[in-house]
Amino acid sequence: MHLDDESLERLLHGELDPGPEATVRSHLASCPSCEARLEESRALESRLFGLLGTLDHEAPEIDWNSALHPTSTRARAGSRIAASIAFLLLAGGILYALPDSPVRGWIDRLRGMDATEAPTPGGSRSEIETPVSGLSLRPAGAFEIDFEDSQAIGAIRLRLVRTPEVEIRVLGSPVQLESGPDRLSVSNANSQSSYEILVPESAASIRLRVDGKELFLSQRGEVQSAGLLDSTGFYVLDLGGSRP
Amino acid sequence: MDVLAFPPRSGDVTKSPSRGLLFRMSQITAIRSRGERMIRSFPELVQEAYDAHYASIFRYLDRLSGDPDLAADIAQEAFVRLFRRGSLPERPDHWLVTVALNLFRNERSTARRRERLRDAHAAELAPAAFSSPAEGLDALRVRARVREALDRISGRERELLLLRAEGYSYRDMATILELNEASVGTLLARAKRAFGIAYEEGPHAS
Repeated sequence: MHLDDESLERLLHGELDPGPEATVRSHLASCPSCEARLEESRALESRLFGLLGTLDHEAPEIDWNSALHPTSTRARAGSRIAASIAFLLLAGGILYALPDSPVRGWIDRLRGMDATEAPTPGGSRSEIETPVSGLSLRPAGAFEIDFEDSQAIGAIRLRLVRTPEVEIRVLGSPVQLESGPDRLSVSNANSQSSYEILVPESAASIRLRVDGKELFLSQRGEVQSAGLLDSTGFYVLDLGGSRP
Repeated sequence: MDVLAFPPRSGDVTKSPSRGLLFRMSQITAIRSRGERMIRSFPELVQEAYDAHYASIFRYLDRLSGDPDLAADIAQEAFVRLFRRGSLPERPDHWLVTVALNLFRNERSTARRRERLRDAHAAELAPAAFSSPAEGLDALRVRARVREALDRISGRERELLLLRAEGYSYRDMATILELNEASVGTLLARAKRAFGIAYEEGPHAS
């Protein structure tokens, strides 16, 4: 009884379990005909796969921008709008530069209005949302999270979790995180990002400070001080640093 | 799998001079210490899948179709769909190649492909890419013969053989092509023989 194609191919491709493989190998040792078929199949495959290589072309890179935003007509419209704005700015600039131009007065008035306007919550929203990134680490014992600065825009949402790791996710523009076994500092000066932080219940203590002010403290899962608890189980902490 | 599921975000892309348009990789900079791990954003995960699987998926489609432009279009569409999906499947390579295969099968019968093939063949017959006329002719002949032989075996044999050439395991191939895993070896042996015979017989044998 000779080996079937299935066994020979599986042996060739390392797809046999150890038991069946030993059986197949012991048959091959005593059957020159099956051994020859195995070698023939191996040689054929190597030749054919070599021939397949003659068909190959270099892979072009994906153009993600046009692939994800396939509205080239909109892009062209966008550039027309940009050109119009550039023209208006140029014309405005010339009018502003003219002596005794009323434009100068209008612009200065507009500037004054702008300065008194409150910043839009959430910062300037670009069309493209930023991805979420962060850091996860396991605290050794008492752990401190320090935000270097208060922020006019942005919030911290913090939740107690059963997992053993502290996790921080940054939503928005980049900040630098620096971590050690007992602390995590967030270089958030001038940032408008928001933060989602997961804090393990099991940690001896977790303290969160913004610009030196303590906003959150939990000890073995018992929350000692915190901001408001929202309906989704997150404590919302004010990054403005106004709440002690 | 060491992946945290994040809510999907739309495309955050940035221009990188060396590699074309890529996803922005590091949203945060971090000074790393022992025992911590970076949480990767979804675009970063898609980027990793792209780095790991794009070349193979393109090659597979290129060999399958004989049309590099079509292969590039389909490979790109598969990655775009992965991105729009918003989360990574357990086996991104399975998912991508399955989506790509479905797209290819849909595309196959259209007139668009016939037009393209005509153009592609015309382009490949231009001998400029080869260093000497004799070498060019030989390489062209081999390529045309391989193409013709590959087109002559059955679609299922072609898909299977080319997946194996990309190193997929029997279980993977059975999943992707919806085959009975126990007979993958038999089908492969048959596909190899068919391809070998078609190649030896040369063109116009059928």
